[in-house]
Amino acid sequence: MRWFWVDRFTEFVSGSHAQGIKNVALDEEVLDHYCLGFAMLPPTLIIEGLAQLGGVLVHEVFGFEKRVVLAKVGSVKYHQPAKAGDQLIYRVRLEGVQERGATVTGTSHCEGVLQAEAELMFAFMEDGYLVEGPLFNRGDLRAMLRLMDFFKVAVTADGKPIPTYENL
Amino acid sequence: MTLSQDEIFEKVQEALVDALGVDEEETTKEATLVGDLGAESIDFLDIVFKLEKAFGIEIPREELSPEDILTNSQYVQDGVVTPDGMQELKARMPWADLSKFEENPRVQDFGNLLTVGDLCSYVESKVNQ
Amino acid sequence: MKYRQLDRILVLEPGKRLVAERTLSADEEYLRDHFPRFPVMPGVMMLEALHQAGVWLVRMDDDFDAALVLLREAKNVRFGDFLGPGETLTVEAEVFKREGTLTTVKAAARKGDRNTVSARLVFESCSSGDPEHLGTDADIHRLAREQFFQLYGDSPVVAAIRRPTDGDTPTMNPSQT
Repeated sequence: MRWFWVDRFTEFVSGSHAQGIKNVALDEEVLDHYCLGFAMLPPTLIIEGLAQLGGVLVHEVFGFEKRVVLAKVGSVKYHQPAKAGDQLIYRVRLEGVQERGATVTGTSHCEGVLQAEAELMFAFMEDGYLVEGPLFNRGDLRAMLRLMDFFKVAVTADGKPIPTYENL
Repeated sequence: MTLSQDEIFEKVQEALVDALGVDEEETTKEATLVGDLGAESIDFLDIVFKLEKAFGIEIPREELSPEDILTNSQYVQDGVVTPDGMQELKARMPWADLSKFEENPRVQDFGNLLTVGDLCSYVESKVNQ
Repeated sequence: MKYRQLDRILVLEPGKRLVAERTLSADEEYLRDHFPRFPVMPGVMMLEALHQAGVWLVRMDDDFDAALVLLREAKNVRFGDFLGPGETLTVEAEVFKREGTLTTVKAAARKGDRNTVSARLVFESCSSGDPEHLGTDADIHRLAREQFFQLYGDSPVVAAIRRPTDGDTPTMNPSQT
């Protein structure tokens, strides 16, 4: 099982916001026997989807140099469950960045209706804390982002493609 | 923008209730953020964001967390803040009530110093500049 | 349940308190992505352990008769520490209050004496919303109970609350009609 909780990036503006898609499928491992008789995506994985989009948004602000981890979910509200066959549109917005962390707000919509909303806080792991160096090997994150069409849509604030990050 | 002390207190309370999940009644002026309200280090980031947003101010990290003073061997000896160190702290945080801390200035106790009232005084000093 | 996050249940006071354990195994596949150089349980997966503890706590209450227990809100979810392969979480969930169909649960997972995650969760006990003639609600309700005893029935605290009518093999063809 891969740890991908967004299928595709559909929009990415550096330092501002991003949008992506998550398709909920009946054959997903996590749906299997999760809630018998009711094919629902575990709600916590919606947080992860928003965190993956938002985490990349934060990470890119610092040229993918910092070690970004989800540190707090201030609040998440669910308006209806996400079921097999649903397509969730995730939108995240960068709310604030500080030396030690960043805040992102996110929403999930299904067929134009608000399905979930969350407030996420990311922290930057201090150098050398618990493990030396980056969390990903060189090339790992680039490969994941490529699968999700990130480089096809990612632009800077003035609409130009984002720079090539050699360290990715 | 000039706000009254009451208006500031109300907004600070709101930020703390949101960030820490405590009840409004618990956020008295004397309540310490760490000891009484259970704030952890990630919560301070959250609180700072919320205050910045609520009051339209910028909160540089070293103004609320004088870690650089507390880890400087010039100002700290055997885990206790020296008189020079106390002067630095007072200069950095003129809005804070450091009198209790001064009686026994152990670095390890500093984290539990900040009260809701201190936070209000800090915001006041930034907002009514 | 592939996405099961509780290995065994240690304490069960239905409607009040549940304590369970979860050990992270080094061969859980997704660890290769999270993270390649630092395999640790994803924060939301630790939150899912709290979520599942809360769901069972609400479901196994004697009076529970709704079909679904849906998470409506999670608040102040704080991640305190990482969990590495081979390490074990003790998951604890407690009912904090009830208001109509909503149950608020306070939950935390600990590694030794440190919280790796804590949260306040609000659950709604509700119907699937399917038309009544489909019998969906009754099925979901029964299947959930059967699944619970299938997954955790060998724990004495769980066996203690089993009713004579509870099967332990979730099936769409119930033997009782």
